[in-house]
Amino acid sequence: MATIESMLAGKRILAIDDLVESRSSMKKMLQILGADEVDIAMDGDEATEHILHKDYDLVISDYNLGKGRDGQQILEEARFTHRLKATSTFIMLTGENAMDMVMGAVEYEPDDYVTKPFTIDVMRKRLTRILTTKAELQPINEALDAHNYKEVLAQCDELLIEKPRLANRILRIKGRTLLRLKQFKKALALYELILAEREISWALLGKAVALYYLQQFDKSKEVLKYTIKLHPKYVQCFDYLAKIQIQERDLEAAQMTLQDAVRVSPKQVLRQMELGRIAFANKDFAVAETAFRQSVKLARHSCYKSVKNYLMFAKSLQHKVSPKNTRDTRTATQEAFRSLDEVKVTYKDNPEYSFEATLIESTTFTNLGKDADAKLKAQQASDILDQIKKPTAAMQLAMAHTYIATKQHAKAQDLLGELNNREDLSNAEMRELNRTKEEISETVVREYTTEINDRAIEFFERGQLSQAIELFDKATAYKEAGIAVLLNAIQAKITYMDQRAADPQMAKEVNELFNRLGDLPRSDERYGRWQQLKKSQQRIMRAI
Amino acid sequence: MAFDVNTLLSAELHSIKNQMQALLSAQSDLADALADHPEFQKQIQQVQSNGQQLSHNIIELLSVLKIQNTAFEPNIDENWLCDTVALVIQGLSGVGKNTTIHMDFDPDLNGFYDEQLISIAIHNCFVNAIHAGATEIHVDVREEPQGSLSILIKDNGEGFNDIQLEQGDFNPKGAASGLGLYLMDQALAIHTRTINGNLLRGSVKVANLDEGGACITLFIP
Repeated sequence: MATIESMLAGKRILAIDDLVESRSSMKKMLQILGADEVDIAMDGDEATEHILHKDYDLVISDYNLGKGRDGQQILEEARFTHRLKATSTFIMLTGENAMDMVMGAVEYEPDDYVTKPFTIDVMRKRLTRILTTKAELQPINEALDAHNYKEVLAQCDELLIEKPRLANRILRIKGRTLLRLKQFKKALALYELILAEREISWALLGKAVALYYLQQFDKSKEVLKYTIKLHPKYVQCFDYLAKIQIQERDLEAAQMTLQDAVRVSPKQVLRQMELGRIAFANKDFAVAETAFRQSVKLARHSCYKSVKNYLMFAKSLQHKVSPKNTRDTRTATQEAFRSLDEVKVTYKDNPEYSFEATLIESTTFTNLGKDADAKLKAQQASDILDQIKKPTAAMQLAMAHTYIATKQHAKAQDLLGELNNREDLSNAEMRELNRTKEEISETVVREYTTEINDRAIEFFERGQLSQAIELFDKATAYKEAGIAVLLNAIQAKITYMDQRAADPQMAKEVNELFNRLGDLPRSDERYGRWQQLKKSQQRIMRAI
Repeated sequence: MAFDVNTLLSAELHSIKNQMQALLSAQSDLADALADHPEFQKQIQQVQSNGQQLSHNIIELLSVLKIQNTAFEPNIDENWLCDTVALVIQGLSGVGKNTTIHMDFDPDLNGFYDEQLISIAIHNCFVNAIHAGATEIHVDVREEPQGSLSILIKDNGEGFNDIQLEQGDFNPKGAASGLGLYLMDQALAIHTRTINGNLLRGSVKVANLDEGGACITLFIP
C-alpha cells in the first residue's frame, strides 16, 4: 500500500473551516502528512472562489461553517458545476455522527466523513484508507468524468469481481449510472437485489427513484415514506415525494412535504425555490415570501443565483403591499424595490429581465395606490418591450395585465390583438389570452376612444386634418368606438378629400366606417348628420 | 406543562457534548502549541485523558437515551472497522498507557453498523480489559455468512469471574456490577437484520481463554 506521504505529495488540496485555529491546524497536519500545496478557505464563498479558479484533487471541509453555507452545500455546488471531478476526493469533517447530519442528494455525497476531533494518527489512517479506496475506484471515476456511462457500467462490473470489499460503493455508482442512462427497470432490479440482502438507505432511495420514473407513483411513495421514517434527515426523499404529489396535482401536499424538507435542511437553494414556486401557485404568499427570501440570500454568491429568485421574491411580497401606510407595507415595498434594483443592476444587459422587473415595480405602485407612478412604470416596461426583438407571448400577456392594472385597457386590447395573431401560442397561453380579454372593460375602452376623439376634434377645428385623421384612425381601430367617434372620423376624411382630391383608399375607409355604423334610425339625433355625410360620400365616389 | 425529562436531558447532554468537543479541540491546539515545553506535558495529558473520558461518558449517556426511546432507529451505514477502532483508541487517550492494542484484521474490512453504538461497545471492551490488568488487547474479526461480522476482542487480563460468565443476560445488578456489559448488549441488540424471513439480532458473548484472559465476541448481523 502506498504511504500517505506519497499519496498527498503534489496534490492540490483545499481545507475549509470557519475557525482560524482549526484551519491552520488542519493545514499543518496535512503538511506533516506530506501535502505541499494546501489552500485554506474560511467559508462557502471563499471556498467557491477557490474551487472556481483551481482544480483540486482533495477538498477537506468542515460540515458546519457557521452562518453561511455548510460543507454539504459546497460539495453540491462543486459537483453540480463539475468544478470538482469525480476523480477528486471530498472529505467532510463533522462533530456529529455522519448520519445525524442532513443527507443530501445521492450524487452529491462526500467520499467519506471524518469525525472531529481527531489526532494526526487517526487522520493519517483515515486519509490513507480513503485515498486508497479512491485510487481503486479510479477507472470508474475517470469514465464518469468523461461522461462515458457505458464505460462506467463496464468498469463497475469488472471491479465488482476484483474488489468485492468495495461492492457497496461500486453498486451505488452502478445504480446511479443506470438511472442516468434511463435504464430504470435495470436500476430497479439492482436496488431490489441490494435491498434483499440489507436495507441500505441509498438503495431504498434509488428504488423509489426508479419506481418514480417508471410512473409507479404509489409504490414509490410507499418506499419514500418508509425511508423517511427510518432516516428523517434524508431530505432527497422529501423532494421525490413532492415531485410525485405535483404529478398527482396535489400541490398542497407537495407544499407540506417541501416545508418538512426545508425544516430539516433550510440551506438548499433549489429546494427553497421549488417550495416558493409551489406555495406561490397555492397562493400561500407568506410561505412563498419566506422561501424566496431564503433563495435570494443563499444563492447570492452561488452557482444557483437566478433572476427568477429576485423576481419571484418581489412578487411574493405583494400580499403585504397596500395603500395603507403600515410598517409591513413599508418594509415589503422597500424589500421588493431593493430586490428589483438588484435585478436591474446585475442583469442590466438583459432587457427581458429589466422588463419583468419594471412590470413588478408597476404592480407594486398599483398596490400602493400610486396610480400615476404605476402608469409611468408600465410605460417604461412597454418601452423596454419595444426594444426586445422577439418578445414571447408570456411577455406580451404580462404587459397586457399591467396595462389592465393601470387602467390602460385600450392599450391592453391592442396588445391582445397582436397576441391573437400569433401562431405560436401554447394552449395555456391561449386560455390565458381569453381570460385576459374578458378582464377588459368595454366601457373603459370607449372612454379611451372618446378621449382620443376629443383630441382629434381639436386638430380638426384648427384645420390640421392629417393629424386629426391619424387620431380618428386610432380611435376607430377599437371596436368599442361609439357612433359619435365614427361620424367624426368620416367627417374628417370627407373634408380632407373635399379640400384636396378624392382618394380611392380613403373613400374605401369611409365606406367601411359607414358599414360599421349601419343605418341610423330617424329617431336618432345624429340622423341628419349621418344622412348629410352619406350624400357627401356618394358625391366623392362619383368623382373617383 | 412539565418538561419531558428525557427530552430535557437529551438537549442538555447535546449541549454539553458540543462544549466538550470544543474544549477537546482547544486542548489539542494547546498541546500542539506547548509541544516544546516538557514541563507542561503531564498536566496536558491529564486534561486530555479526563476530557476524553468525560466526552465518552456523555456520548454513552446520549446513546442510552436514544436506545431507550421506542422510536429509535440505529444509524446503520457502511463503516470501516479500522476507522472505528482507531477512533476508540484515540478516545482512550491516556487510559491504559501500558496496554497495547493490536488490530489483527484486514484494514479494508467494512461492515454495516451504527458507528457510534459499536464504538461504545468496543470502548467498554477495552476499558474492561485495561481494568482487568491487560497489557495486550487483540481485535480480530470473523466474517460470517451474508456479510455479518463477529468482532473478537481478546486480552491477557485476569478474565471474567464465574458470576459474570454464568450470567446469561446482562441486566445491570446495581452500581457495583457496572453498566458496561449491559450497555454493550443493548448497543448490539439494536442491530437487527432479516435474512430470508429470519430475524438476526446483534449480541454479545463473553468467555475466558484457555491461555488466560478474556474474549468478548460482538456479533453484528
